[in-house]
Amino acid sequence: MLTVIFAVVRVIPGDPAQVLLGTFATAEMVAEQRAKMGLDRPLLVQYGLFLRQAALGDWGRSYHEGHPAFGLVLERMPATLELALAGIAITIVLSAVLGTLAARWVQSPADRLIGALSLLGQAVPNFWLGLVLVIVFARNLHWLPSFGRGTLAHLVLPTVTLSVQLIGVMTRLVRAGILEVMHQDYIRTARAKGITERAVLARHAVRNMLIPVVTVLGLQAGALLGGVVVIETVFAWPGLGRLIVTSINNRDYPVVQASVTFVALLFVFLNLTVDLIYGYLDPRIRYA
Amino acid sequence: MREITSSRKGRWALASGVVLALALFVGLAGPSIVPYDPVGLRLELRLQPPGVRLPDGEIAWFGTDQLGRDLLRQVIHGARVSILVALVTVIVAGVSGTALGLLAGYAGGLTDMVIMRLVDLQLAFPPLLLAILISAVIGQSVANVILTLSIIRWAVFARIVHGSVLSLREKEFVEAARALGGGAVRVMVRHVLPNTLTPIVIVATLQIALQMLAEAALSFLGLGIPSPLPSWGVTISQGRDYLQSAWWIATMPGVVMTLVVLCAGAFGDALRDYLDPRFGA
Repeated sequence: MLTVIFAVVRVIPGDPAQVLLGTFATAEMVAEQRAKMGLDRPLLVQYGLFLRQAALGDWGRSYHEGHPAFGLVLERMPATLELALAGIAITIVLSAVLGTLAARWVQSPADRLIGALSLLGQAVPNFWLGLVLVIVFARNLHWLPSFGRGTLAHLVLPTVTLSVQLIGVMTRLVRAGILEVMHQDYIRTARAKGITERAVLARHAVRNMLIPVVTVLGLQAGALLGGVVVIETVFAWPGLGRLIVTSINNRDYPVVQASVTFVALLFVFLNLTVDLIYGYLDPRIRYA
Repeated sequence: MREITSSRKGRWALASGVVLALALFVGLAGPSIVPYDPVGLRLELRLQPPGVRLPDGEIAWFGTDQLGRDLLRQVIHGARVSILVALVTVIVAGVSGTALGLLAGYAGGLTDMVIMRLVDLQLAFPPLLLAILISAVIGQSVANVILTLSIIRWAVFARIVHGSVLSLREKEFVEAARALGGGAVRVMVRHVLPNTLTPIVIVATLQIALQMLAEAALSFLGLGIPSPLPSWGVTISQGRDYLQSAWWIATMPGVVMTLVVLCAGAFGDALRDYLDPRFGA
């Protein structure tokens, strides 16, 4: 993964030394700057140095601000984590509630409405939805701030924007999962024992349909993290996504490398979490 | 026909198919019927709200943008870019992914390992993030957007085809084809490939909607379709600076886009139910 990121970042057109010094720099100034940044060395040497430093936790310094790239990433990480976790949390809660409601009263008007909304949620371009929400809730109603990070109110619009698509996917999945589980023999047994429909759902059905749901949630984490990059730009959210976009525009290689690597690591970490949750949901699954 | 219109699901599928066909027609033929000058300035007509009558007697149904260009025309011309990019990338990614998946599954051994490790590597990376990185590298143009979006999707097709080829490879009819002296390419293309087509078609229709969203997101970030060319993502991005004074610039293309993506998704679902009733619940 490190190799791929290094290779991709190095072929970005444009000379970072040139970008840093501006259009009025002389050729000598640019050459000197390139030497200072180590860009005049052969690519293979640059690559070797990059690997050694990365292993030591040194990701180089931002060409632009002079701060260590790793420090910049750590500084932005909490904002992205906050947004991603808030998005996942609201997705789990809402899609569980909506999906269960739809499955409980299947083919009812409520089921149809929820189905239509979740289809719509998957079709809306999320950055556009973000802008519409800003127009309505920030500019016209003045209920919520339109950009930035700070209070809980700042978190509302970006989180909603980020999770709408995922809620659409997950609600349909929860509904389908519950409907499938409800035909199983053990559900009939539970009903035959005379327990209420609510207890059948909560105690017997939900846990057994959670495994496919959790799997898809892990897979969709990639879409969520991609969405973070776009949505952080819409809401000027000071996270890793925003850092990636600005540092790509500034040709700030060390920062691009460090931030992309950490978003990718976050993805791997989320999928690892999913694997660990399997073991909890179904005790028969064991990892050697 | 009556069979389709008799069920609610059928009517939905039909409706979404009609909207899609209309969008496709507008995207392909619209630009030649409705002229639009992407660099023509009419500053005296800038930021006019939807429905206003312009001095030349025409009604700007979607309003005008910050440079006085008619938004409806911009959306029609944007449809060509958005729809074509989505279609072409799905075809490129679908064909290359299918070919590689077929090869990996049929050849086995080292070929299989190399290709499928590449697939794993790619799927372990958030697709939009990869698209952002690649398009930053290769720069902005329509061809580059097509290349970028094809690269981020081929692995999905390769994995699906690989899975079905693994089981097909051991079937009697494939063995029979080989026993009759069919070469590897002939067996792959004539006997194995046709049996993997259903899941490919299903995935492809659903991917069209995803690709339209991805193209718009890239263009919105300034990494996709270069600016004077109209694309839905570009127009929405420009409207961002006028949210207060002219809400319609960002809103109108988004509404059209949501509708088209919704219909593409619904149509894909219907096609899936029709082709493979076991696939979904």
